[in-house]
Amino acid sequence: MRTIKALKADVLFQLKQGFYIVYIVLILIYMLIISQLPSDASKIAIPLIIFGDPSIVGFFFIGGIVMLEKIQGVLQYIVVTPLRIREYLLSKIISLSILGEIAGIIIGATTYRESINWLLLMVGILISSVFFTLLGFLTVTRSDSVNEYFIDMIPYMFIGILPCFSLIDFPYNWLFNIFPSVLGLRLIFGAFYGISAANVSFFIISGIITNILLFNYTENVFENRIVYGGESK
Amino acid sequence: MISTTSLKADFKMMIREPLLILFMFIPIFIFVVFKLLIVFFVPVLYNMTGFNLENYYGYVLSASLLFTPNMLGAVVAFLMIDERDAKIYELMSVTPLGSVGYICNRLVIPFILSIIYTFIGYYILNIFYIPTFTLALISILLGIDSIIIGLLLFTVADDKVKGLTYAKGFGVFTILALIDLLKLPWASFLGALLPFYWVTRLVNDSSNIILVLKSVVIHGLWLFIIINFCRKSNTNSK
Repeated sequence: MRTIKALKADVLFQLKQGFYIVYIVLILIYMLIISQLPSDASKIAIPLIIFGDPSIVGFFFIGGIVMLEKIQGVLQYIVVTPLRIREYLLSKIISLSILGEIAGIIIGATTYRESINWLLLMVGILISSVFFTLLGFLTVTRSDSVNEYFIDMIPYMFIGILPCFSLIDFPYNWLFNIFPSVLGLRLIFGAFYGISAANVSFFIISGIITNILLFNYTENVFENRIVYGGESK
Repeated sequence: MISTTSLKADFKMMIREPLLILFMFIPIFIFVVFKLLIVFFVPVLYNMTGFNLENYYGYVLSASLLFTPNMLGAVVAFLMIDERDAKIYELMSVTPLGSVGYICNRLVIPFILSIIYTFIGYYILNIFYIPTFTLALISILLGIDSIIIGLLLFTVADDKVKGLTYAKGFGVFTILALIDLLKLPWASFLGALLPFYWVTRLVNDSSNIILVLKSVVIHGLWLFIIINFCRKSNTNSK
């Protein structure tokens, strides 16, 4: 119940901050560009755009959100409210994933002419979105300003994005399937091009397990560094 | 005098601040990445698909040159937003420097660096010929673009989150700068309303004097509008 209330507040905050308006503009631009591409090129471009923008949206925005709440003193008060850190993180992750899901679905629905496995697309976006928002949380624990956040993002971005090149066939590329970003991208491509049931099950289970482990780690780091400012509880 | 002293202090701060130094070197890194992609990726792309990117080198050069003012403008805007949150901006407005002097000093840095990086980027990439006079003009226009981005972001963003939202939205500017590629007259008309579009036009058609004049007028108009918008918003917030 507390998480739902926090989620409602986060979605409203994002609406007020203009996140959804920006995405309406971006979706229109994507529609315009994709409509001018040859159909072969657009078939590759659409999944890449959905992965490259809506799935990663949390990584970009979470730094500013947390820093603003830090300045406003919201984070320090969390410890004296019934809302737990776990619920706080969950609410932020879900709200940013909702934004990513809506943007991804609209881009797919308005630009792709053939059939899409919508459920798979949504799961793919969700796994990537959760992963990148968690990376954003880990990044912001080290940053004191937005510019610092941008610089601190770079190594985490490498961790998230570089393994995605393993979609190009090369020996032992399956080793990179431990990264939720790779799993999410494979599922998103699977939603457009088809994918075996065995692979879907493996990718979803691996994605969930890795994200849960990362969530627990992020919760500890966030609580220690941000809420308690590095001091022991 | 006050302004010069403050500007010197700003440069000293930049030199001492590793984070800002890093940002100042990122454009060079981007140019090198573009160059490596051109050297290694373009032949591969041609062999695989028959698509020759060489026909679009003017647009590639324009996109890479536009990266610097966009990035430096945003970095300085976020620096000012952070300083506004930390009440430094308020403090500056009651010093002899004043809020206008403070903003001017901050924006001189991306302006000068954008000019320098235009030349560096042009010579690192070395893919498209532009006469020296036009290149010098483009560098100044890109410097103005950095001021437009920095001032616009600082003025419209009330806080860091709004700053990030607008920064994301400003990504559209670069796309609109390359909009001629879509060959849609109405989209080109839309792009032509923005100063960034004219940089791409100048890169691709550097000897057209009418184009030079149009580019200068559009940049001047935007600068005038943004400065007035910032002044008004400053007056309203007092």
